[in-house]
Amino acid sequence: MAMTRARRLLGRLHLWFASLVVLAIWILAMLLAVRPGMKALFDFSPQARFSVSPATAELLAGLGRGGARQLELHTFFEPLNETPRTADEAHVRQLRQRLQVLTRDLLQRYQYLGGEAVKVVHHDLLRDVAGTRAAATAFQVQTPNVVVVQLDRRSKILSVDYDLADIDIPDPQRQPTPGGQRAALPVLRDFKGEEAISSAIKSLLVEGTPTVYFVTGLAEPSLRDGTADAYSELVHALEQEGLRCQTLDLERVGSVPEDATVLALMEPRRELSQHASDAVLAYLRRGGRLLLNVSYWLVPEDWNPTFGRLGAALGLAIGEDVVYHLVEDPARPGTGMSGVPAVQNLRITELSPAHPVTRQLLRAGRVPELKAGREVQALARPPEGVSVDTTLLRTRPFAWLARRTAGPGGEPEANFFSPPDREAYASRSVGAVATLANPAGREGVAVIISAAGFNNAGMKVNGDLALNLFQWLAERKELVSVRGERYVARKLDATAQQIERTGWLLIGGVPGLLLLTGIVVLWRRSRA
Amino acid sequence: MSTILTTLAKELMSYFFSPVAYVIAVLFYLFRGLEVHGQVRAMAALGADRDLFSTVYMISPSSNFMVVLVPAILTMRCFAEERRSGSLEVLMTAPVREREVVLGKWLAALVFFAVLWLPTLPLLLLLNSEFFLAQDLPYGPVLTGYLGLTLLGAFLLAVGCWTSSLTDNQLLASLTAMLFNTALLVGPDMLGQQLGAQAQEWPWHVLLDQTRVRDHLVSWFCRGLVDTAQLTFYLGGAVFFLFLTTKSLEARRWR
Repeated sequence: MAMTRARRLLGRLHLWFASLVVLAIWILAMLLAVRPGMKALFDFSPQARFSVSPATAELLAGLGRGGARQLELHTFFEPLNETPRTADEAHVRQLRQRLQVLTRDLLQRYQYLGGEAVKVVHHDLLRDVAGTRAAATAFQVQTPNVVVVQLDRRSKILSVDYDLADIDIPDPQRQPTPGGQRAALPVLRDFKGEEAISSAIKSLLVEGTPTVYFVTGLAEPSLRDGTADAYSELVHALEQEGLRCQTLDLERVGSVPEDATVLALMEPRRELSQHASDAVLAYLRRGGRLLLNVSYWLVPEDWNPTFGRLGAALGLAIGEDVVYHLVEDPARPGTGMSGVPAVQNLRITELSPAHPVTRQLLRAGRVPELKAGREVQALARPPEGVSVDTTLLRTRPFAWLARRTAGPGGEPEANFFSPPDREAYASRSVGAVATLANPAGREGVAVIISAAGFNNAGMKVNGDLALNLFQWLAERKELVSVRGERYVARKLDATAQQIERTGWLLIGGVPGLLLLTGIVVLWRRSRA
Repeated sequence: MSTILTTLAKELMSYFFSPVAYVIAVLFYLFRGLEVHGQVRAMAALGADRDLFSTVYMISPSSNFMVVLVPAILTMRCFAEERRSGSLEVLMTAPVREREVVLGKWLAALVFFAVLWLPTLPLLLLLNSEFFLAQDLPYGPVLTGYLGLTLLGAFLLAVGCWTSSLTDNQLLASLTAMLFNTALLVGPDMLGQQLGAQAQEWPWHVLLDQTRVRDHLVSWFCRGLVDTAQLTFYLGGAVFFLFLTTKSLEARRWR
């Protein structure tokens, strides 16, 4: 009897001990599995929206390596607890909810990659009123739907609606039509959260705020309008990356301010006067940085300044004619065609592998798409102390220079047809860098981009090139990188008939099929 | 190995020829059909992002039914019934190892659980066809969601096997398993709230994050993400409870 009891006790002890050992192994494995070196994440989500660009991954890993840097990302979302009363309200709520989900998803990835160096806090006004209010006061948050990026003691506030997303906002004046059609509603075009948050982190990483002066008074496109040809997106993106943007009426002021880190002329349509050109040259000779972006206008003809005086001093010449390129013939792949407006579009596949700006784009396989270009050529004999590199951006080899032709009424007309002469085709430069030696200090640098592509219409494709050029000119080389892909929202559009068919399949078809299978199997079983 | 395969085949046959299995499948797909159809209508009316569909498709409320109830129902008779009828004694005196019997029964339940979910995959293919929605709905989150649910199923079925090995009452075994499954779904969040700020500290935050199965499904697997750290929890959990089941059967020898 005693032996049996002892055996039972021993058995129980063995059972408990073995179970505890296995439990300990399981817990240990869980603790080990979350260590950054031991875990891996595989992303099969649509558009791989959890996968950030290598540049962002490197940025977050760098924070972790430094050890001392603590990145905090705080969200202040609008509570979406009220039931929408109308279909329009439901639509807006759905859009807001989607933005919140996309932002949370992105931050989840940041936290995953940053490990202990990244902390994400979602402040919920419904769950923790006092805590949320205290945090909002501390970060000076005044409106909901923002993300606060805090690195060490510096912080930056990003709006989810404006900085992280591209939303098509309809005209508020538009009323529902008498036929009952609803007024247009806001639509999420794409989500650019990674771009905005990573830019904010990078801008917090570097000290100081360089100033970019945009030269005005040369009939250039607006810097503030939201139209396709304006430059508001570029200005906004630069500000997001920590650069201060100012305007400068050079003709009136007569000199470039001392605090100008970069001087930018975006698509000027008038020549600089002699004294303004001299002011720019003086600025460059004392180590200034210039970005001159010109393009081609069919009409009026005098909207195509060549900046001869400035160009001569920089050792290069900007052509008057437009650069066109053969486009691929969809009917015969591999062959080129012309005679269509698409010949204006220049896919810049020839990027300088030596330049830090274009090297990054080459690595990432990003191809700038410019249009309305003019050729920029190096002068045979550049001025002393000036070196010119015209390999920054070049077209593919089938580009030609087209001249205006006169239409039936004598008005200028674009001639999209390619010339018959084979000699007319060549790879043409639309981007050059001129460096001016400065014995007294740092050298002056001028970047000439002679095609349009950095305006609002082109920023989505060419944003990396534009921002990298500015960062490189501002000598913030660590910020020259390739930004993440944007998440493009795709609407679910289904007709009433399609939805009805889906209902039949889901509610009738599948359960019915399973029921039938069950009956057949059980009937056959009973017969067997 | 042959014992495992023999037990697997025998148990699978009993699942596929059981009316209960078909009742579960029909009810599940009927509820699921109603839910998904409602979602399609709502998303089309709101012009919602179609990339959301796959996530919504996998984590509809009926999935909770499948997670909480089905593993418990499938495994309740694994050992409890054999114990009640006395066939377990016969089985245990046969020249087979306990762990082989346990693995065979668990694998059979897992295969059946995975098969129950299987129609979700061809169904999405059908929905993507021209005749139905023709929307290019993404497959990635559905496949990873399927993986996540199968892993969770593997874990919960192991729990079910263990509770079934403890008693000869099927109802008690299934109720205990259901209770455990529910606790696993809501417990970590409640515990996190109870712990307050301490929940953010090591090792609590790691253990709590690792055990938040609902969050794993909703925020990771059903969005197309597979985190190897989470796999450790499910596979380790299944191994742990299968070990307990084996030990529970072995303990009968000492009585």
